Amino acid sequence: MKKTLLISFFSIVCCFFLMAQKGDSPMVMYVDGEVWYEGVNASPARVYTGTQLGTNGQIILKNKAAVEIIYKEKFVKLNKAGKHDLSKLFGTTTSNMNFVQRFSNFVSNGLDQSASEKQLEKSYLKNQNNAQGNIRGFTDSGLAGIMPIGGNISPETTEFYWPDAGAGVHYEFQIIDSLSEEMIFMALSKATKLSIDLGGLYLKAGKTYYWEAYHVREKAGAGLIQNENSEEKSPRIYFKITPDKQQAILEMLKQEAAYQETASKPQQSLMEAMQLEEAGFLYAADQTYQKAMHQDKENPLLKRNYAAFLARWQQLSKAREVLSDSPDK
Amino acid sequence: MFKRFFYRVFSQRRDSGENDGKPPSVSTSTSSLRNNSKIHALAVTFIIFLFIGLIKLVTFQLHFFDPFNNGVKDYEVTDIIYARLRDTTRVKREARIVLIHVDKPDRASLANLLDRINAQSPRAIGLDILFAGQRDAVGDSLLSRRLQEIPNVVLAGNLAQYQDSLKGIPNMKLSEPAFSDYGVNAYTNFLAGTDRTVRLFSPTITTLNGKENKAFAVALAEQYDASAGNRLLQRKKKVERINYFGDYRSFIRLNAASLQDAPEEALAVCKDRIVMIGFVANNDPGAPIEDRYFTPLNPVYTGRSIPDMYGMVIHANILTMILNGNYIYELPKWIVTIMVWLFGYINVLIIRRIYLGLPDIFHGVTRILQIVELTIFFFFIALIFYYLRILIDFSNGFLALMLAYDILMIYESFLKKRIPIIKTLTHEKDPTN
Repeated sequence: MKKTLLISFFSIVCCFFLMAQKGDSPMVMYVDGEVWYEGVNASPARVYTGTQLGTNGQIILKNKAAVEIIYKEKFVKLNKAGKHDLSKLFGTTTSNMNFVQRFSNFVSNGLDQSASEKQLEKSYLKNQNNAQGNIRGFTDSGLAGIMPIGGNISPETTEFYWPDAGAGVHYEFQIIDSLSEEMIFMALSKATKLSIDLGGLYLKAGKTYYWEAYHVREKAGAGLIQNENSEEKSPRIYFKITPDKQQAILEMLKQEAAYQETASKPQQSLMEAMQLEEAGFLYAADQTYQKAMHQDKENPLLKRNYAAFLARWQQLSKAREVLSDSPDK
Repeated sequence: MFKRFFYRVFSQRRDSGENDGKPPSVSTSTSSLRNNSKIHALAVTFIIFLFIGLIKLVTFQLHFFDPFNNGVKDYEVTDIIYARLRDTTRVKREARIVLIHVDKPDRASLANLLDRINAQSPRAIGLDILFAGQRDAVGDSLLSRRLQEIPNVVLAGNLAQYQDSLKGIPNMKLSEPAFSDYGVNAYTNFLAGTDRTVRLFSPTITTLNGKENKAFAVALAEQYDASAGNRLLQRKKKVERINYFGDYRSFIRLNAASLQDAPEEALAVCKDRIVMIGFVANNDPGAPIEDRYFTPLNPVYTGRSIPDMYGMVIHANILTMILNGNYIYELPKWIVTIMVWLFGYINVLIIRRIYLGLPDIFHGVTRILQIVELTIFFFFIALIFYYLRILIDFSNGFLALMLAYDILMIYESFLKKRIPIIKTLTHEKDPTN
């Protein structure tokens, strides 16, 4: 009986040991570009995603290559060309901080951050680096030079534009139903701008659509072909067709005493733009700002508000441009 | 010193307690005082929970509280556990799933990719792409043919919007029949909008046309390990909490663009694994935000921040949870309600004793008690969730603890003296008469 129990116990221990051994080597989770592994006393071998490496040896990265490896729950990302010693990379273990220590750090950090008003402000500002006024990111997020940038759009003539991809590139512009993926409109364009009467298209009120523009190049004998590098396209911009509301918002604003009492035209435009933005008519708000800027180019109030509007909607580069023209800067 | 402190607070011999620190005008027996104390504590507890109910009712209905509501509604205490109490330096690896990033593939190259993946004998292939409409005839035909040849393919579907008037979801939008006829169709929707945090998913949803549809990860799990899928379905839960395994770093990833000219060895990783094909770019702040969601792993757990996880990584997390059988368990609501009420009641009882026994230092002692209790209880709730995956929603209990001090003050100095029913309830005579 004792013998059976002992054999069973050791079998279980051995099983655990083997299971632990199975996952006990560095594993390549992602590879981009040319990466090699040179084991101890072994010739270099090409590394692909999923390759199991030895714990010693070197990882060799060619130019522009990147690799991600996990070993014993330690994650390492390499993107510098050259040789990297695995024993050095994984020699140090990950932090051994247990749950109680992490909890105590969390509580003490909280207490430190709220110890004084200055500390509170400091931690608030630190947090602001990660947060922003809208959900799309703290950068242009690939939206630079793109309009309309989403929100509500009235079914009227709308000018779509996107960044220039250089000479010899044409663009395949599409408007697609976001739910059914049905193509509503498609056009090939040489320019990075397309003026479309949305009222003339089969777009349903209240429905969401998206637009995007692919890069297409001319190939000898093959005509225009869509670029295989799928990164060469504009991002998808979702918008909702909202008829009548835009006009109603402006009519309501015009009834307001504050609007009527304002003699300054730029101020009225500002009010209109803000109202439109609040109702999600981003394209119309942008048009209103632009029209107002055209009428009064040097108005600092307009410039700052327009720049703030652009910054709120991931047009940071354009916002900087607007501000850099500012005479009081 | 402590002995004296506890004696003053908890000694039942202090019979001056029930009259705001003044000697009682009517002699009362110890047991009736004890009963009065309990009734008062119960009354205060009731007012606290009534107040909490009212706050929730009023704030969530009024438009001008929206900025507050949007922050609060989209926040759970467990988010802190995922975001701050998890050891983020440790990255677990999931070796059964391979994620392949495709940006906007044409159907011909996708057919080619599928062919090459299938040559490696994967256990299941999930296409997180909806093939709606016909595009070019050659590409469509190639992809259709490939899907006919490959077994174990799961295709993405899209559940239609919930219709209030019909009280349900009418149907699931599928890919073109040329594709959807040759694989299992499963929905990729999450129980959250694009600006909300994804914490839950529905394993199955029956649409109004009577069809039972499965979630994308569930369909893939069934292809890989039927028993794991069955274990999930046997739980018979309409909604499951997602036990997040890790972010994108935890999963094996490939980029379809770099596979075009790569040798077959580059695809060898697909052998005997679940391969998911869809959009899963990197997580840089400037990376595309298409199909990207907030999850509890987001380090900024309050207010708005950058969406942190692609839809396909969320599907991979769900899949891992199903395969591991590591589900999150929630205590039944009625148990939590009893716990919260009991917690509130005991705290009111203690705080009231301090109020009556130590009027000079009541404020300081109560605040310290609240902070200590809050920390200890939060620690245990976090610990239970972290190690046992048992979720206890104790937010109302914490709120009750925070409100106990102020409501007790209002009760003792205002309500108790002015509301006759409370006096009748406790059989006390007004000492001023």
